[in-house]
Amino acid sequence: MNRKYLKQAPYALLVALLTLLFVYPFWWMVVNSLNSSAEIFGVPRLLPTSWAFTNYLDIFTVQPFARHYLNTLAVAFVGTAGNVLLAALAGYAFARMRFPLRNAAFLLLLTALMMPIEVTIIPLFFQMRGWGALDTLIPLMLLPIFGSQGAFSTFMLRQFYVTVPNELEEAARIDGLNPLGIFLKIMLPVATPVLSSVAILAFIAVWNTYLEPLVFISSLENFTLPLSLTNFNDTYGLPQWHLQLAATTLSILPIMVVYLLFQQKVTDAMVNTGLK
Amino acid sequence: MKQHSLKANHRRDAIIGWAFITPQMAGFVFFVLLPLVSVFLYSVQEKNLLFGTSVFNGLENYRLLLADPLFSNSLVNTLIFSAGVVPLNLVFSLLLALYLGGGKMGTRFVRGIIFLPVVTSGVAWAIVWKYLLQGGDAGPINWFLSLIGIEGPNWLFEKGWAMASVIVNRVMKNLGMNVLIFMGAVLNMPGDVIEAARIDGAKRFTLFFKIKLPLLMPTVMMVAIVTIIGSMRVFDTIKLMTDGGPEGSTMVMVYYIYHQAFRMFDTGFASALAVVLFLIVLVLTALQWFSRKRISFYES
Amino acid sequence: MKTNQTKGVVRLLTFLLVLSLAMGMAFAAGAKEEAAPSGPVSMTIATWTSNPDQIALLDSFVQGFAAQKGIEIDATFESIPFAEYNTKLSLELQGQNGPDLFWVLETAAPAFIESGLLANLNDGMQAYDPQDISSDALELWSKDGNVYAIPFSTSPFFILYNEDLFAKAGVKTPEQYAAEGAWDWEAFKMASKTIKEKTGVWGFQTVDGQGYDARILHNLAPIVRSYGGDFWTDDGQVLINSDASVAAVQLFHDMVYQDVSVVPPGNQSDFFAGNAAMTVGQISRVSKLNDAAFAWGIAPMPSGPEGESPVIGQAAIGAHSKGKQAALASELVAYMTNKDSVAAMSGIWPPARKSVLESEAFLTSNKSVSKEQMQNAVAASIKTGRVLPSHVKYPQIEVESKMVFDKLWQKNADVGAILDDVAAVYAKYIK
Repeated sequence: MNRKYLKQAPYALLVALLTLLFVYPFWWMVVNSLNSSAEIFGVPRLLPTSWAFTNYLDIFTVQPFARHYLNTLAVAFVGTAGNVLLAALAGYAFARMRFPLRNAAFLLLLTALMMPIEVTIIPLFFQMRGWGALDTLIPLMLLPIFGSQGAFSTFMLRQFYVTVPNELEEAARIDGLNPLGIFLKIMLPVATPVLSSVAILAFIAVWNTYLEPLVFISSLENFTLPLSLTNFNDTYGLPQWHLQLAATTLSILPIMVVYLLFQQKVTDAMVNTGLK
Repeated sequence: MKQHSLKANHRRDAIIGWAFITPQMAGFVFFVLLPLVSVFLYSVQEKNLLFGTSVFNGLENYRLLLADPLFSNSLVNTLIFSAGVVPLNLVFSLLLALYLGGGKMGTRFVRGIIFLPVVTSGVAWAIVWKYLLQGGDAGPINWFLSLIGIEGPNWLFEKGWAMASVIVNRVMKNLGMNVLIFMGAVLNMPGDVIEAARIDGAKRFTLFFKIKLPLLMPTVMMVAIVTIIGSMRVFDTIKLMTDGGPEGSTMVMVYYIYHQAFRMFDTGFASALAVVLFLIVLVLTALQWFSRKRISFYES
Repeated sequence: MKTNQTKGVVRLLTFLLVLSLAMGMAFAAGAKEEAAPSGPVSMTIATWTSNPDQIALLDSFVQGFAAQKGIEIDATFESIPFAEYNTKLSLELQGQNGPDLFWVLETAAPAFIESGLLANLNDGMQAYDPQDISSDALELWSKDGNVYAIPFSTSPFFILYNEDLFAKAGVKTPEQYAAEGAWDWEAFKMASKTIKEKTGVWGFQTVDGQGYDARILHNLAPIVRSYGGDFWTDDGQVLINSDASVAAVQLFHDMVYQDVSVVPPGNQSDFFAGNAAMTVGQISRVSKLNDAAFAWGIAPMPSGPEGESPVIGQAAIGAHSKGKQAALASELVAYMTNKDSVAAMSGIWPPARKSVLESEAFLTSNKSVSKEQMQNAVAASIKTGRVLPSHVKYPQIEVESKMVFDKLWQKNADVGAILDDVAAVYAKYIK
């Protein structure tokens, strides 16, 4: 009996250590989002000192935080939906159709896969200016669809569609479905697990985007959350720590709740697609 | 007759195929290819963001680049950063995946929490850690260290520690993703092979190095390259935690590009830097393809 | 079962597609709407303050101007954090929706003038009494006889101190020292050290806590110059590694690393929250102390072997030459810096106008600051103070020299050698 517990001890220690490392930062953030600015520094405490719930109201008056939230949701939503849809179309075609220049086009697309946005951010700035798209959410929506994230999704879906047995398509063709019908009615549904993990990855990537809005967006009402979080400054550009932490908490919380609710699904999707 | 219909079929296939990929390819042309061509063009111009000038000046930017100590500094820093992030990330995520794949105590819980930073935005993650890593006795990390009698450094403001801090921050941020990928691979390992080896009396280490690791190798290679390239794009962590300092010791290439383009306004020079970064990434990508081929060759 | 699932996926996707299209169109329509001018003229003004009272004051000038012109102006104020100001501003000015009016930092003045982004303000200036604005004040903002921006603030930096902490440590306050004529850097250093030892609270916080990075020149200039040193001069001499400069920087370095009495790099202890006994500020910062939980005072900067050398922070306002309403914006700049407007601002931003500076009203313009304090720490310093050095290549100089300056912030730093390296960076750009 004792030996059994002893054997478990190192694992318990490991779990404890990991918990401290990965949970404490979030805990600290939530606690101090409920403190006044002056209480944040000093001996860390497990619970807030002043329970300043007003911080959570103040962040909406200091800047249009709700607007920033909606912007981010809009960008993430359109970006993810477009990304998955176009990637599925292209991934399917690359995997199962025969057309001239197929391999060339695929190889070309793969150059985008690994391309850091930092390489092209300067020309993109001038290009967006030319299109009159600066200081709008449009480039933020389109870049995740067509940039490296788009290429990544296309690649993943192609890899998946290569493994789908021919019979499915044959049967559909005999049923008289046209190619678009086959894609929509057969090929999209069978790819649901891959689609969902690709969508999750795309959503996380768009939600995280920082450099693009930093360069493209200037008006306060067009900010996305990452810009908003770094903009809780007082009159002289000094961070308003308590508000920044409250806003950060609010920016993380919904995603975290969704994630914790669907944790099993999310991680299973990742594990099972076996990103290869 | 038959010939003709075959031709028609081909044409039909071509039209349908291209119809499917055109949306993606058109976007690719405008959002990747065109800017990529432009960055090469900009790199041979004297181009200033503030002054709004663009004048062809040949290879002048590249000449300046070779003579620029900050460029070599940023190259070295990128190398240090990647050399820190990649092995740490790979080793820990592989070990964790093996542990979690083994169905030991608390695996679901651990799997859940290490993925938390992945779903957190990099900006939020960096903001929180900037507070935690404050120097003196003001930061919680140093407070914890003081409990065991260690006087922590001024993490983000001392050369060396600053780089170590951003490396660890970055590793923790992305660890969960790689753990999941490795878990997928671990769960797909043929159980009978491992069982057979175990029956043959293979020790733990032999089992790991001789059986499991080779089985996981293709995934490891893929993850390694993706992590290397990912580590070369570190921007938000650096900007928010160290701003490239102290002494430029965390000024990595992407951040130097940003600095040159948007703080010093020299977009021409920054484009030359971007071209260099592009070439580095290109070589790494090529390496990945090469290694994939080789590994699958070994497999078959 | 299967077909139901299929239908669901198809429906969802159709929905997503339609929604993204609708959103895209909505945004496109929104963008168009903005472009069509109708009703009031909209103007964007970029500043680095976000203080609502200060913005309201600026807006009152805009409304005053609009009334005078008989038009309606819808002003939007855009606050860009100080540390990001030049980057963000230049991106916006090169973009399609740049601000019509914007504040310019003194260090960026030559670069912005050179860029052609600032409208020529000579016409607007005609209404001014040339005698009233000192030509010194305009020097930085002019080129070849043309004026490109008008300083609205010529604000000296002074010492803000926490009276309670001085009392607790039993140290004479900076104002008392100053009254005795003994307020020099040695006294400053001792006061800081004693307070840290006696109370455990930091003695000094650098200006806005940014004295190690974004405001390094603001931080070091008063010490360096009152010791007889400097960074570089207009005629191209680099003086940062002169003996006087090295001695001055060494004094500050000793405070941080020997006395350990200065809030160190990265530490967020804040004077305004009561976590440091002294800091450096300008009159515009004083409003932050309205709710302070401690008694406070202001005193001039300490003097050095070469006397006092307060630093003046200059900020100007200019009009965007490529803006849609450049002409109107230029007129607005002139209006915002006319005598009445300047007098209204003087309690926050001390003006460059003699008539206002020498008026009785100026000395009592800030209700939190006594007449004597205004006289000693502000008015007197405007006369003796100097602005920071500037240069067309300042953005480059700033980034590159910061990497070298960073080496200072460790215990065993060799100040002289590091300043030699800084001088080498300066020399690269300053000829």
